[in-house]
Amino acid sequence: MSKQHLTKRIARYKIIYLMMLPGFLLTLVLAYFPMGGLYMAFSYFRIGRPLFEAEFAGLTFFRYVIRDSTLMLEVLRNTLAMNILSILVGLTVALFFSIMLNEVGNRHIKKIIQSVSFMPFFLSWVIVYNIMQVFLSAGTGIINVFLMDLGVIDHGIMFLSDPSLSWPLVVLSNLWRMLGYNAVIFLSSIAGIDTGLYEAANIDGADRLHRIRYITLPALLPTFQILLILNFGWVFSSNFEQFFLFTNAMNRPTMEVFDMFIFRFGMRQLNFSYATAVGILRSVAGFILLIIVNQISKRMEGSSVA
Amino acid sequence: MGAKTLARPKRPKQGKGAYDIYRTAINAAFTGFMWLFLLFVLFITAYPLWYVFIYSISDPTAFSPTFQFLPNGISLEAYLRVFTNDGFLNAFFISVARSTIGPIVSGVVTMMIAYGVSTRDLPGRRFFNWYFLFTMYFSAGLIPTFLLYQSLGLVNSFWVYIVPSIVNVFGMILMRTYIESLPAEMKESAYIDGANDFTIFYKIITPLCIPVIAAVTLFAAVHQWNAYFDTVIYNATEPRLHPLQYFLVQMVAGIAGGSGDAAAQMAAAAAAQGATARVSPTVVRMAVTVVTIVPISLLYPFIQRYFMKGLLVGSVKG
Repeated sequence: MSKQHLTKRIARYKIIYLMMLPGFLLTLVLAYFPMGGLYMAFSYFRIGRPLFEAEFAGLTFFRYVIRDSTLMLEVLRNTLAMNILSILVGLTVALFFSIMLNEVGNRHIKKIIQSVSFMPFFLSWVIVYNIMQVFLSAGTGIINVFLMDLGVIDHGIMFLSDPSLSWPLVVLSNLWRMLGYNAVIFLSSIAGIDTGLYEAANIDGADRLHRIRYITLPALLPTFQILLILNFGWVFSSNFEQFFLFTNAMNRPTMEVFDMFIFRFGMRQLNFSYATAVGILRSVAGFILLIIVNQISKRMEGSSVA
Repeated sequence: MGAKTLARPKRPKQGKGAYDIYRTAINAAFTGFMWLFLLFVLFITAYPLWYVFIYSISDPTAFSPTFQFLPNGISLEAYLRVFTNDGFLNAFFISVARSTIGPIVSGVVTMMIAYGVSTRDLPGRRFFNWYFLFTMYFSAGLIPTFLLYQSLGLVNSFWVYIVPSIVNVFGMILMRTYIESLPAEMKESAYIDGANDFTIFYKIITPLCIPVIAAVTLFAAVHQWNAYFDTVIYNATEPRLHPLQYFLVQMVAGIAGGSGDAAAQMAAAAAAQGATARVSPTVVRMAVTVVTIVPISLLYPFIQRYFMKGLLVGSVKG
């Protein structure tokens, strides 16, 4: 079939091309079309005037970004620190959680713990933040009320706006929300371990910790490694829906990430060219990182994300 | 598998040496720690949800926020107020609309793309595959996208919730992988019987792909139900287009003129109607939170079953 002429082969598949057409056009208009708008980072663009009429600015706005380097470095530091800490803490805890869950003999108890721990993944950030307010707010949060009743503290701790608590807050809320999700992947790897290994180990007199140390843990390390690498591909990105709620005037210096920075300068202060320049720098860095990560995982595993 | 089923045989050589006592002790310590940890995880995930629930059905005059497991003086007044509030009902309707229309339209279009890119000798197959994948890695960013949507009339419109999510690239990857795992002979024999590509897609491939279609559409429905980013950017000034999540955002973040005021108004209206109808803004907020979680919990058994399958198809296997 592949020996036929190209035109014949294309004609042969005309129905398939027609089926792909809606998706193709939507992607063209909604994803590729606006990429032309990236030109605004290189021009003095003002709203209400067509972009192609805007005066060329060259790298002026990129120079502004470098001029504001202290601010930019702060945003870069926040984004990287919170993402990298979330990945490391999240995957490590999930690894040990799934190993422990696997040691539970009773299938029903195991199922209950797994189902409950997976639930937060499906809750929106609004609900998560709402719950955090109920538990952590300085005045009425029940953790603060509890600590004050015990006499441990005199005034409520400002968990949600203290700049020094921003990173733990983000890392722990991510851990809470993602634990069950990451555990699913580890548990499926555990399910793939040859049970004969455990039987042989038992006959040799291995106890629970021996089995974990010499069978389960080594079997999970490749999965851990791959997940670590894949997750690192996204360290420049952040969830807008999370940070829109988490960021406030008090914790901004340690909480603001690229998405919120672009939102603040672009949508609130209407500094379109500047915000787009920041966005381009972020996207390019992220894209290069993703390609590197994809190459590494390809080499390690023989298959890639894509 | 389990530790119980296989009895540990005694080692014949030694008796109960110091090493054995040491092993027994650290294993017992580990088992104790393990159960503590697992119960802690169970508690820390389940209790906050339970607490929000008991808060929402408590009588606010009898309820003072502390650690507790049972409601104080049951009152369903908050729910009554919420379900008779126009703003809430409208938000609920918008949320239901976007989480049903969106996934259905998206499922059909995405499945057709997935079928295309999984057709082995389709000319341009690699190009189409990357054409879609690229958009997952690189996007134009917030502002160029906003300006385009504005010129397309998607700003202050319900369709901004639907149209941008129609092509679901992650869903495409899952569906493509699934279709490629099906035996090729089925397609070939259908060709021989004279079926065209659309008939094969519709009559043969789609029924076989029900599990992956379920996974992708359920996931898309959850995503739609939970989303509020698009409302912040495109529809913030149009209250009749606010979904439930944004209704809640306004209460949580205290955005003036929004439903944060609605919670206060509902409480004030209740107070004006006499002592039996007591609600506080916080109780109203908790009631809205519970109502927002309920649909997810109802779908949860299905989501869990199909999502795990989908997740494992799309992710790495150890």
